[in-house]
Amino acid sequence: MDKKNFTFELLDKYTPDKVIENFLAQIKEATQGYVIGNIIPYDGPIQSYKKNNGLNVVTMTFKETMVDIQEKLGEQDDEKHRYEVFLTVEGLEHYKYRMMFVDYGAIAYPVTIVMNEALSEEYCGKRIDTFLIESMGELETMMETVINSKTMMVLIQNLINEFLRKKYQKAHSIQLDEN
Amino acid sequence: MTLHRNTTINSYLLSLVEDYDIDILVIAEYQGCESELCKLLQRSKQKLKKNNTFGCERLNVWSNYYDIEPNVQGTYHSIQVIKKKLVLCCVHLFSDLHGDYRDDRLDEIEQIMNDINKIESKIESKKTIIIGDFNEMPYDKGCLSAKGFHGLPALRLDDKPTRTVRKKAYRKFYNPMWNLMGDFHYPPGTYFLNKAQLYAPMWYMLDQVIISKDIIPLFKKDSLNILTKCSYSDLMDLQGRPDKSISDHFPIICEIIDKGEL
Repeated sequence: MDKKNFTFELLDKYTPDKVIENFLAQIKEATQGYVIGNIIPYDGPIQSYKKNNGLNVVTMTFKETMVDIQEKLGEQDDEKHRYEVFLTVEGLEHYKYRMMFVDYGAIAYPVTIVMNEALSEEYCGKRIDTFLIESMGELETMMETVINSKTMMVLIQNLINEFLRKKYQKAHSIQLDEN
Repeated sequence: MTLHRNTTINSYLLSLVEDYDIDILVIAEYQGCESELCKLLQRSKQKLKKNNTFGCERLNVWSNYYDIEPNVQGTYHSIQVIKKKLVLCCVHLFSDLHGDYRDDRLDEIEQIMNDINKIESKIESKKTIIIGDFNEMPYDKGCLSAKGFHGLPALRLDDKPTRTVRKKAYRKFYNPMWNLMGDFHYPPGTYFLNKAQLYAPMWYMLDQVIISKDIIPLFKKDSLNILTKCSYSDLMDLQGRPDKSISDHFPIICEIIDKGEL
């Protein structure tokens, strides 16, 4: 056995949730804390496979290669890590924009990402929303694309505007009360 | 109502809102001039304002409620909470136009139900209305399965609230749209498609409203209707089907009694 056959440099240093958390921090910073990216454990169902808007015959072929998240990861190990990634907005107490679900087992990579369709269209140009991400590097590339996508930019600006509008309305109503 | 990308729809919408005293308007696939519609609806006698559905591109919600808060916004659903007590889940699910996606829709609906259950627990209310373009029939998996919306054709207040299947209890919902299927009332559905398939009903009830048991006492059964006209224009073509130059779906209307406390 030759030691040259092995590498001792850890490439995937961080688990998917940590990688995503780091990217989400950029949203908070860029929006002065008005819009916040969250990643929290999720215990609900997520889609295991997804439609393809191509022809029927393509769909059938595609379905055969689909991954059933629950079964596949269940076979590997009972350990499951499932997260929900979403945006919240300061001043809009209950608003929640779901960006994606993250799902992995005892081994952090590959990780399955089930993404919001608008984001996935921008990420891959297709209406496929389930991705098997092989490495931390690939996940970083994905997150970089997603958080800087046009959909996110427009959405975040709308949310900032909504926050400012609420803030203005509140300040205006207080002023009227005082008068 | 589903508009199928009509860019000149605003006059029809305004007419529907004023003719039928609409307090909440849910639109799928709106592609018209939103700023113009904003002005028209705000100046209408119903004074509807656009609600926050940012992030859910497939749906638009307009209402004259002051206390209406956005909650989860997903690809196929937008949840609003009215008066901190009523969960309004607007849906526009994907269709079977290019294949059979019943299982996929059931998956999506499970996720939507999970959102609804969590919100209900948080606001301590079991009052939920699910409305929109479900893109499937009341008897299809997503609408009827206990794992889906579990929208039963009959549900009385004194019925057991759950149904047990293999030792697991599933909460019942009521889907009044079953009553509008067939030709005892016209039209027999909200969407017409003559598919070149042996097994096809031709008329489809894709647009539906499904309610939780706690909403049943507030739901006016005779108010549920499929609309085929407004004072501005007929919405059907000469064959009595949805006029595709306006919308390929007929809109539906229903009334929930709101005496202040919901």
